[in-house]
Amino acid sequence: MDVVVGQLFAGVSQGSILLLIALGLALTFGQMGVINMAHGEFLMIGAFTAYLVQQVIDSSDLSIPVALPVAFVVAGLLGLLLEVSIIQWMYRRPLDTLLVTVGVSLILQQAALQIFPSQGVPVEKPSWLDGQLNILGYNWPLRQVFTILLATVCVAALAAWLKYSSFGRRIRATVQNRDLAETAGISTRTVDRLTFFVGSGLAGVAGVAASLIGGTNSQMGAQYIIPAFLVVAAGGIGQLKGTIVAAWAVGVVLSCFAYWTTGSLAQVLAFILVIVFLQLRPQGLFTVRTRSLV
Amino acid sequence: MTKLKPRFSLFGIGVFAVLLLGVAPLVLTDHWLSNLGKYCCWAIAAVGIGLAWGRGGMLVMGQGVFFALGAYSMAMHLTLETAGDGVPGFMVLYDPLAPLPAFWEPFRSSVFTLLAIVLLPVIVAGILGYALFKRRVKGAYFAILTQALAVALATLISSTIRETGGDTGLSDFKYFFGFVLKDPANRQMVYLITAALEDAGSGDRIEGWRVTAHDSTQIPAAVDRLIDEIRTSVGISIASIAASDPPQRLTTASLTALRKQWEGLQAYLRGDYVRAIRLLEEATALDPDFAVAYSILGIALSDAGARDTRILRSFRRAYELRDQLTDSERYVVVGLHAMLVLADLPTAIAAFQSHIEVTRGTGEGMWYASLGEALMEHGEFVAAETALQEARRLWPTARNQEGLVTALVRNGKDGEAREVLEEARARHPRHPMLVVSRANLEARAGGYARAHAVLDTGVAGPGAPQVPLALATLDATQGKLREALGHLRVLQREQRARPFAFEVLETAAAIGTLRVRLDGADAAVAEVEEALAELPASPRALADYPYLPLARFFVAAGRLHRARQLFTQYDRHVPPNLRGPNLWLEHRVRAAISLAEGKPRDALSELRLTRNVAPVYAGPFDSPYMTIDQQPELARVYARLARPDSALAVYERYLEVPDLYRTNVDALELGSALMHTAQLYEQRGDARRAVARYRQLADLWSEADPGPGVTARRAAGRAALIGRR
Repeated sequence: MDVVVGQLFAGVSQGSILLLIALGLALTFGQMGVINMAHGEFLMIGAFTAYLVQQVIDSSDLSIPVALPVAFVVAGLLGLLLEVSIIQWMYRRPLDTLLVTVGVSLILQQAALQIFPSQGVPVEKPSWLDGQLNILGYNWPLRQVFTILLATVCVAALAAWLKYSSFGRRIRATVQNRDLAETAGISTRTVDRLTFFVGSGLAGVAGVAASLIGGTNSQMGAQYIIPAFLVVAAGGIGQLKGTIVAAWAVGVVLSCFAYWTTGSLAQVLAFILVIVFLQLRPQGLFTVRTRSLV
Repeated sequence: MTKLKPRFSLFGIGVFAVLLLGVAPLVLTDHWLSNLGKYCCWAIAAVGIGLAWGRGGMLVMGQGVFFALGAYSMAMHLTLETAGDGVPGFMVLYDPLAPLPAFWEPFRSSVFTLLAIVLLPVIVAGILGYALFKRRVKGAYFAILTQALAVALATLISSTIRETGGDTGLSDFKYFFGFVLKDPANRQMVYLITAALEDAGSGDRIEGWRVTAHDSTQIPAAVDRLIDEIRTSVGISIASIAASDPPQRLTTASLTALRKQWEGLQAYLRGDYVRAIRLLEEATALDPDFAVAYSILGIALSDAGARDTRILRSFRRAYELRDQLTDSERYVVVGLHAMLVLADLPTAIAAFQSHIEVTRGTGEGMWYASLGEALMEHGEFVAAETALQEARRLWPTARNQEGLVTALVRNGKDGEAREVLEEARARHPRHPMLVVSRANLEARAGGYARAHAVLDTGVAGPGAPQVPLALATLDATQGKLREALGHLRVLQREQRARPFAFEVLETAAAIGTLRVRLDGADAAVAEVEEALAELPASPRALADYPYLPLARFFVAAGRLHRARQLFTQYDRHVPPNLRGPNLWLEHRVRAAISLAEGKPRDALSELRLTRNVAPVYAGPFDSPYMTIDQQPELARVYARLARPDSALAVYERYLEVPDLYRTNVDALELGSALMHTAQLYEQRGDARRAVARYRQLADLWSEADPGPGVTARRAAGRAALIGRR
């Protein structure tokens, strides 16, 4: 029983990181029809930002809270740069953006490999994340609790922002009908850039969390991006709740399979499971739109 | 664009075919011809993508999956053809007794292979396509899902290195459906060997000779031919011309393997063990007769904390191939084999000394560290210091410097050691061994907190178990068992992530040993048994199993029957020729069992057997450089034999020995040794010394966990009591 609960919890925390990445993916995909394969590299950039912040601020207790907003801004700005320089020229051409951003992701990975040592860099864990929290008779590692809380706060903030702010209303309008939104006087270009900034920034925040759980190296983005896409495929686009449920489900499935078999077999099994799931619910969990984009 | 008429396009294809099949082989060099072949393969794959994307509108990001299925089908057949009736070479490398996996078996048939090449991708693509298109998945979703399939397959293959060759892949095919397949590029490679006779006075060239060799193994014969030619034309009278060893014999025919070996060596010298091991494994897979690569691979594996028989196999393979090597390389290989496979220190020392002699002045010899290590394990610290000082001048590698620091500390030259270490750190800032040395140097002076700080900022990169282990031993020495456990668990998690399955168990044994003290034997045994159940002894890896560290744990936990069981398994499954590295531990665990059984006399004779044995697989709580007369376990044996004076002498030697790696032993022993020594002094009536040792213990464990904390308070109380008297 302990094992099951432990794996469930580890899965939820892994799913939380997936959720932060998948939110950005789902936002840009749903709104602009853009598939950003370099999205995982923004996670990597967030993790390396955490490391660099630590080189400036010596105490790891302080540097991680500082790194969170810094990573958000750094990854967001780089996302914005990608949007302005490349992606804005290929809206509504999902397959072309997909190929181009695969190239961008390879460049970013190689750049990280050139700048940082190939075995990766160590990110010191803050001392307040050492230890465990006792809830309901089980000991939860604080690091995992932190990841889950972080994801929950980010999602809540994003949902509130989308629902109540004027920018949020404009984003929702653009997602629902771009032409009508433009007619109503919304600058969809500005909205697109902002969405890209926020989506990439969330991946940066996920990177800080990921650097506390696993290693920080040039390959880490590639590790997370495929499960994140599986989340988007299973969760559907257009609504947050599909992504949330799918992210945690994929996280738990990966973690349980990895416990029963091996980490690599778990990826294969999770892939098969998503294909099977699409047989049952081709529209994803909640969305009303179909998967026939082209 | 005007559309080509069908007849014209047929004509074009015909011309292209003639160009490819008829003209290209005539005009292109073999190098470009083999490249052209590769381009044609890619073109076929690209045609598939063009068809699916252009005609069907489906962007297949995972086209490589189908490409790979065909490639692996072909490669498995060719590998089996090369292996004949046996098992493919790379599988034997991982496990000499490996059976052929069942899914390889049908690929022996060439008919099945040809069918599989077409049908396997068709079936996989058919299933996937049916599942996706039935639900109208298309466009970007389809691209992403096929990309996920590619990633899943790549992870699967690279994680099953024993069955599929993993990242290294399958290569080195010798036959192709019965034809002898030899890379044309290699056939064309010619080594030119030239010699010239010059006038001694003017330097004018009088005559020149030239011979050719078609591959590296024929170079010696070609040199002999050259000498014959010179002799016949110059006259037999020149006696000084004699056939001799070519100065630097190439030991591999594969340039790629040579490059990988060199890069691997560089990575190893930097302390990046994971990369070094990968590159060297690739080099040995490319050329299974590459002796030097095997010996460096073995060293890198053992520095990375691996314990399995891969190390032994690497050294033994290098030893088997030693006749191909130059003198200097041969001595290294003989020395490493003696030290790490046979655990025979005197032979190893002699071989390493010969290596240094042969290479002195040539700038070749770099294995001073191994000589130093062998000398120190044999207790010859002055000789080790001399050798390593020379190494510092010629080869300031991290390992040479680390060895020198160890020797200097042992010879009482802490100041000089500190200087060497600072210089080494400037040169190799990230090398894990240097970080640990520095911390240990701090800890020796009693600065546990400073040592801890050094390690905390140290690089705990993957593949370097030294840092978390050092953290754990430091904490355990100070009685902070719970924190020590934390560090060991970090290490264990890292080992779990890599294919170091047996090291996970060894760490479990270490965790268990600490938990015996912290939570009691039952909890510790439960955890270790759980780890054992998670990783059952599979018949293929029986020789790799860490029987002895586990047996040692069970003795410590008071489960003698389990310890004896593991010993029986060790005797049954580990063949005698693989036991060398275990010998040291074997004697000590046998001694521990004998002592626990109440046979201290047997324990004593077992412990004495360790004198000439190299401590190859020293555990996390052992220092390789402390001889048996300095080990607290000998003192315990003496105490049981009712020889308190001998026990006290051994304890004093242990407490005073200036060993750089003593915190390893201190982790489990220092506290109890202090307590025991104090009690022995008290019995003897030497109140002053007893009080000193009691106080030392109270200081050491002042911040300890509750369990050791009680002992520390008891010691303090005792000291106060005797002091008042």
